[in-house]
Amino acid sequence: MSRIISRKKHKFILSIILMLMLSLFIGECFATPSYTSSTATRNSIAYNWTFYAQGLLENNCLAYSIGNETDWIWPWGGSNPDLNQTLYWLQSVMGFTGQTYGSTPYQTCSVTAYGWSNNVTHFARVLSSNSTWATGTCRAKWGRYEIFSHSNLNPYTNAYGPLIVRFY
Amino acid sequence: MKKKLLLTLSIVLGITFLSASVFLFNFPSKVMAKELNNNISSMMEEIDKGAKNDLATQLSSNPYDYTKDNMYFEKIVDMGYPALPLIEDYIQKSTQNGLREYLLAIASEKIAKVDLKSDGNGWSTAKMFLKEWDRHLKVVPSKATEILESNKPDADKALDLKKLGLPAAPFIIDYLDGSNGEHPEIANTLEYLVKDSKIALFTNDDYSNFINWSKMNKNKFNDLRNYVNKRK
Repeated sequence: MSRIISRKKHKFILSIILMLMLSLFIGECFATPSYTSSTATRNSIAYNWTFYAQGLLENNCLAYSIGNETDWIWPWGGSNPDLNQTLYWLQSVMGFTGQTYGSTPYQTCSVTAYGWSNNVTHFARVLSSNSTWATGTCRAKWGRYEIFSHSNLNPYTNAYGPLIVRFY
Repeated sequence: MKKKLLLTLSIVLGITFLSASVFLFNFPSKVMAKELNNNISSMMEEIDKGAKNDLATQLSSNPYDYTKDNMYFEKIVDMGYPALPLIEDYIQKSTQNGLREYLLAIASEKIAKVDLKSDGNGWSTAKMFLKEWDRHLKVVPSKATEILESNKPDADKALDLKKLGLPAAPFIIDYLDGSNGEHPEIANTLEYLVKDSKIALFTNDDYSNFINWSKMNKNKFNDLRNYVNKRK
């Protein structure tokens, strides 16, 4: 009886060690969850928000907006793009069509961009939209913070700025 | 029984340690690789520290914002050319294509003094950078030769050579070998490219006795030359 208990103990210890070994390698491979923001921080960034998911540190808003939830995508240089650079990349490279305010009728869109004409700061993935400029719902990765849903397409304070382009 | 357990434990820990060493230090220069790994970890720790105090940066999707005031990013750049093959290897082997890898791609461009996005059709992720970097290195020898042997004035040649970056340095040295002060603008470009590379020092004063400088230093560029030429 004591031999059986001893063998079981031996197997248990070995399995703990093997798990520790595995975690050494897995720790190098797995992505890291995003930072957690406070409610005060969230309220300073958006007028409306609902927490959706933790997201990954390695993933940015541009990548997330076009459906990539693992990478950091940035085709520009050290400065944020202006409106023309944003339109060029999303249209000529990624195949979207952009609509700025006033270029009606607004099509059902899938990506939105935020900021100002000389400084585009942020991108979101559209969940629903119609022919009204800011009506719809969207979801976005907030830099190295989490992923949030919004109840309209123009939810941000000057932290990110106003809706500037709708892409379909 | 206890002896058996201790023996098994020792063997398992030994295998773990050995595997970790091979996995983590599978680079040609172990000391340089360790230094790079330490700088990468510290670079990311600096960014994590910023999460508490710098909301604007942490909200940013612009990876260049994370290089600002990051002394460990600058330390990686300061490692010079010897870090380039290691960074390339790191990005290639990484299972991720995130911010860390992107910052290493930015560091590579700074070390090599190139801008692979300048034509508007550049890279947008770290893994894409590797493809653009490889494509760039493949054409450096032929482009450097084409520029140096063209009929353009030296001032124009110097500007074109600058765009090729540090990888062009061995080929510029070949060209200047045997010259006797006739190409000061090209020598200026060599000085600019080689500065901070950690390969060798070269100033315009050295150009006045280039034969001597070349004798002492040309071989130091063999590693870089091979790094570029192996792309053909």
